[in-house]
Amino acid sequence: MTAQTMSNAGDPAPPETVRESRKRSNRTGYRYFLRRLFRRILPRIGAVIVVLFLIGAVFAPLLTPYDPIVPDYEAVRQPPSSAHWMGTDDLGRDLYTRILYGGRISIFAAFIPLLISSSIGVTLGLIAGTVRGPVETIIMRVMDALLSIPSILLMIVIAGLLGPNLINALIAIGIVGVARYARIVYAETLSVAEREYVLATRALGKSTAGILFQEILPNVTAPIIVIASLSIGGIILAEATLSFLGLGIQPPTPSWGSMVATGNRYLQLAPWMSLAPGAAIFLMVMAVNFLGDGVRDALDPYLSGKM
Amino acid sequence: MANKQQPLLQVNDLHTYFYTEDGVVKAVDGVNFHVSRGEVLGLVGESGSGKSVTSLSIMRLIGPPGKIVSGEILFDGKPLQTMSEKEMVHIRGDAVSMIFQQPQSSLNPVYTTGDQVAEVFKLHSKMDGAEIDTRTTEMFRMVGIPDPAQKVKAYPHEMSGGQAQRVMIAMGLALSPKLLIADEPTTALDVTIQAQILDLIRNLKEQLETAVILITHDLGVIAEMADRVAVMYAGQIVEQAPVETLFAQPKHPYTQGLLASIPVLGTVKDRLDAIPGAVPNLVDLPPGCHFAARCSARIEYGLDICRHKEPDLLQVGANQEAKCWLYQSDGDHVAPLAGVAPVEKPKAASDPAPVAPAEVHAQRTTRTTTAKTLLDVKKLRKYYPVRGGVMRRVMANVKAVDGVSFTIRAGETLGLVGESGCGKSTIGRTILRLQEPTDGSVQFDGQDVFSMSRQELKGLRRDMQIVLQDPYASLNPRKQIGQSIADGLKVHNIGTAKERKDIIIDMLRKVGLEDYHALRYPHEFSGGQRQRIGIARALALNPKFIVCDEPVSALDVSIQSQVLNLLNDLQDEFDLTYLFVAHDLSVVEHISDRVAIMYLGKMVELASRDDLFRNPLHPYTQSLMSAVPIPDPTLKKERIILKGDVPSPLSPPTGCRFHTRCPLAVDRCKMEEPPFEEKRPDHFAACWEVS
Repeated sequence: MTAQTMSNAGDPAPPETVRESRKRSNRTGYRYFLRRLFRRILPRIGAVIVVLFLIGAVFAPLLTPYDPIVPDYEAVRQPPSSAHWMGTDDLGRDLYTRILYGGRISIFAAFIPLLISSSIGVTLGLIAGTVRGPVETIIMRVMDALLSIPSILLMIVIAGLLGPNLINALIAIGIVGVARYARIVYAETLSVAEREYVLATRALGKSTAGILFQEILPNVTAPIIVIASLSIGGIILAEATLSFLGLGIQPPTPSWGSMVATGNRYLQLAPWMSLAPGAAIFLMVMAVNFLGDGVRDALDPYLSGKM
Repeated sequence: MANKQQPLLQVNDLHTYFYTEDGVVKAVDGVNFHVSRGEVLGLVGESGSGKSVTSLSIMRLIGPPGKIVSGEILFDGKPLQTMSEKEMVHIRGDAVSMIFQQPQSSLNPVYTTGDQVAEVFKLHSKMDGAEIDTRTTEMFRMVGIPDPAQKVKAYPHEMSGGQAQRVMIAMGLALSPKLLIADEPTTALDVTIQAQILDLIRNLKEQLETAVILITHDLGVIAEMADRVAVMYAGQIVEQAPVETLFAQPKHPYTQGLLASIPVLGTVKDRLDAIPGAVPNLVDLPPGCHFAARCSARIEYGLDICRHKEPDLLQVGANQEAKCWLYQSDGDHVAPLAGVAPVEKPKAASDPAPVAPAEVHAQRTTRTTTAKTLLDVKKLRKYYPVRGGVMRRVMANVKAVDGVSFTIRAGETLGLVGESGCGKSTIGRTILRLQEPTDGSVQFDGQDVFSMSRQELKGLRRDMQIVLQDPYASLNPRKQIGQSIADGLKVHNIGTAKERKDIIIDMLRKVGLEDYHALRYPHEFSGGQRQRIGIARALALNPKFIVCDEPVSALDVSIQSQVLNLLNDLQDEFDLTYLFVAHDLSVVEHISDRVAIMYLGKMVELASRDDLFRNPLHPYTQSLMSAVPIPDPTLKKERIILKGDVPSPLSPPTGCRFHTRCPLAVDRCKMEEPPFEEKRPDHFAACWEVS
């Protein structure tokens, strides 16, 4: 017997809940969702960081006097100073400026593959876990095959086939990420699909698609959000790798990942060159994680009374 | 050593609390009791009453966030609550041992069952390997496992639930402990297996002179096994008495209510007396008696003190103690029933004394038998293919339902009973085409269900609904219950948003909930309330026919009666027809007009309720009925204990499927399958030995 089952008492509801119920009468809709999301401090911090990065990217020209691309051979590899807050790189460009501009690429580059892999992966996982039979076998074996190929190799092949530009690189990164979502969602779906409420809604006459997206999907969101928020960092770096190979964004356009990659070569001489963009990636991943956890909890009705 | 006079176990003022995020859960809140040597103490209560926590406290197995806060546990005069963990290791398994509810999950799947029993000897004795092996085999024989020398090598998954529980008992009794704590030892087992296990515990207890604390929610099991009974409610013992006294003269209103709320096999009442409400939340209990909120006697006698001050557990009769202000005075409060002996039971308590069956049955007439046939099931088969090999070919078929025919008349309730795995739930789901049938036909209201197109089937869903067993699993946790109830209406485009809202509110009221509940999520409800929501969801489409798939088996007894009464009322109000699937014969007898008994995918008997329970023809029905423990300790009935387990539906026995366990089986039964035929007017059975 757990504390949880013991607290499940109260048949009929105690009278004070009448008042309570008015207080939280509107418990759907996105205003209610946002209110719950930002009731806690960490999601708020996460949101602030993400917004700051977005502002930095959009208003970059207003926030820095330097140019992100034009080299300045007078100021090569300078450590952080009052003139260059984060130092300069091997071509004398201001790192702070490059991070602001790089955000334009990197934030975009982080979310496009995320959307691609999660939407395709979740759909495939849901279908495989509910429809079963040959469909399940085919989908999941293809996913296994995807997972068995080293992801960098696969990305290079896909990006190479599609042609070298940023969008194609992002599509490649997205496709490579599909298998992870599919596997997790598939496993969750298998157990959720067996629950009796799914059977009960089938008895009400609901269609398979309705069951997939209205009954099962809301119950498998938690792991999706966790993987999604954790994968941001990897995606930013993957974009850098592809760019490095000439399959993505081309120099001198800045992106955080490519800045880290370039900086690695000067790690002993000028550590700030990779530390500064690294810190940007770290902050972004952390912020998205805080937000992700907040979204997950705000979606969970069980936690609504406790927050 | 210990004084023979003192009780084996004495528990004084035990408090065990759980420190959770929601607050302090007072799971055990001041419990006093004792167990004498060789005695069986029955500890009875609903879920959340604290009976399991009490037993775990005795074993000192309470882990964080739980803690034994105060109290004294004296075992053989030695205080267990202050012992070091090292000393406790010697007590556990050696002097006090425990068996649990789920035998198969209490055994470790990666070791053989023999190794797990041998482990007990290794831990607590100095025997050598060979000696341990012989002792282990001996234990297997003692607990009645067939072919013990072979079975010691079996892994838990290779055993049936009943056998696994025997292994657990072997582990528990391996070192002849002085005290055995059995925590719901038969709750997870089928009734015929339960009879075997109870029989075994009773015999071994006498053989080994072990005292037993038997924890259960089943008053029938208590009546059959216990010498003395302690009734627990919300973390406290509310009444304590010898078993005969407790059942004949329950003093506490909770005990009285509990006894009145259970359907008793052979005794049919129009309506069960239900205790209103549910076990309270153990966090922030209001002051006063924990039962006050649900107590009808408090209102009847106009007692005010119950809400302010907690009564003590005091003597109210010979060896009988109750914790109730009805029998105690305090300051201005004068006990209304003190000294009035014998206490007249409030009308809520039924007389559990056996009444001649014929007389009782006359009290509630079964529904009209002339009504038209609503559902006609013919030769229904449902096989589940077992696939194997690289090509996933069908290797064998699990014949879950194998040629079952029956009809249900409009407005009646057909009870469908059988042990687990007999195919009863499959029938319900196949009729609704929630699972595709293998063969057979179902006519519903003149339409052929199995030949319907997807679109026609959707229309049919309005008329045929299902209420499922597990109230925790049958509601989508991410949806407000109003949305869940409205689901069916949306699917079938019934009404505008406003009209749907009205229907939801109407349905909630019909099942005894409030309209503001519509905006809440499932986890905010108790089990009984969730089952009401499940019923409301099925009712919203205004169906003609509802499959009730074990709708009360996951509920506590006092809640069970509320839901059964509700189903009865709704049937009258909406003219519903039920297929009531259950494993509990008493419940089925209470609610059904006609009853069908199933065994291994076949129907073995079908008759009107009165015929079936008064005059069962099939030997399986007879043994099933005799295996049900009756909550009356004075009733010593002859018991037919079936041998062995239900065979696997993968390879059912030839001929009559019951012949391997049948006390009447003759050679013919092994060869030829008996036809399901009308043996008496309107009384069908499948047996060669019944003419």
